[in-house]
Amino acid sequence: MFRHFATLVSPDTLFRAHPAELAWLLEEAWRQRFDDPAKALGDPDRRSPLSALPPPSSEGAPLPTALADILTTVTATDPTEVPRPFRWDHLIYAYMIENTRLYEVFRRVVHEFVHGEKLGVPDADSQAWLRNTEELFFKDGAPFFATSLAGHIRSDLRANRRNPYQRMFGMELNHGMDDGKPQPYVRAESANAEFVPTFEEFLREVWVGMTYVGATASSNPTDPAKIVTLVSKLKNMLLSRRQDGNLAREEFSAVTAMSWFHLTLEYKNDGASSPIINSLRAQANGTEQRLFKVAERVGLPAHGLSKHYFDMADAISRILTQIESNDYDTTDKVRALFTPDTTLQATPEAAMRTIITHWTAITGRDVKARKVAPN
Amino acid sequence: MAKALPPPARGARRTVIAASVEPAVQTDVHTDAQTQQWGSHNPPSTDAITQLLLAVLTKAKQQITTSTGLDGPALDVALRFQTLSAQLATLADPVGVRNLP
Repeated sequence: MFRHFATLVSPDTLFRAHPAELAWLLEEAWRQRFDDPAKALGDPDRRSPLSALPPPSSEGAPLPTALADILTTVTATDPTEVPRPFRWDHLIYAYMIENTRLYEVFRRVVHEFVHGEKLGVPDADSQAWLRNTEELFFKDGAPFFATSLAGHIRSDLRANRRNPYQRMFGMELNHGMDDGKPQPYVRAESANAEFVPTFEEFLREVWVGMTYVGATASSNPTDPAKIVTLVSKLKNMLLSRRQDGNLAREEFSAVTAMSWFHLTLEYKNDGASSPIINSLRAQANGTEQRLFKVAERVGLPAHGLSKHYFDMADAISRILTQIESNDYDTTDKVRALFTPDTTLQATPEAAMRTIITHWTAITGRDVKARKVAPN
Repeated sequence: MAKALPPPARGARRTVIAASVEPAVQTDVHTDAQTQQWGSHNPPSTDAITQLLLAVLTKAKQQITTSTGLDGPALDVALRFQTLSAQLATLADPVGVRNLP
């Protein structure tokens, strides 16, 4: 969410805002989410039935003009301002970003800055960033907000994200706690244990399609019907966990937290950096390189393949969202997954190529390799 | 030093290389039916037939669909993807999914 907000207002405005304003901004984004009553609950266009906190006054949420402007938009034909509809990333985005270990690394950053001057004295902007980060992502959160999940029932913020990861994807994060011990969390019985093998089979079949899309002088082993079947399996297992809008708040909270840290590292690639990166003297070229430098400062290594996680997160989030929307339900439509088109600025084929490349790198399983049939 | 091929075993049947025979010169012979079809004058030369065949093959090749662009339902889905990408736009990826470097 924060990376999306940053396209509408300067990231510095977000970093300098009051934490209560950011919490309200998120609450308003939840209120203004896509909510098409014609769709089933859990669909990307109707994620949740749960309402937002009622606004404190008829004036709406207590937001300064700069942040309030994020919530409105105008159409091409009508200059009247209307509420901007919001969509947030798929939970897989949070899973990919958290695998870089950036949450643990920034936890150390906050810890060091609030306990001493080992990392130096933060400047004014960094102090604002530290306050926002601690208030929003290392505290239980104000009651009644959509993003406030921690409480007496589920008290550990990190465990609160591992549980939906396990339920949706049957996957664990690749790191435990700082001391190397496994992070304890509640594992659900109903989990999509078949997600990874199904998804990899899907990637493999799409790669075959990409390989042969321009073939005219050979047989074409592309199997669109099989891709449709695999997409259908993925859609059914993901939507089963989202039955009646379940897990929507958990997803919103997770992608919000990860996008805050991702934005902190991502901003900027043009030489300048976000305030906390400057304070840490962790300027570098590239999101993952900045993470490595921050990690080095606090003595907690980030994941060595972080670049692959960062680069894949957007693509896989969008493809899974489209799969849940049932966009690839016929053999005609799945052609878009492996057929390039130079007239469009963003294509499913480019996204699939990104996913296949980086998935192979992070898992070590080459989905481009042909399957060997047993005798 | 590379060894030479062993000599054929005694008693083995030797392959006799047949003397090359020049093929008989093919004369441009037309049957009565062909002559009737083409008319009694100016039957097509071999060059003309070759040109005709080349033209047909070129045309056929042009008509083989080698387009890699999207159309129909696949294009609709790709456009929906583009819309989704715009709704989730980010600083580093303002329009859509970044392409591979």
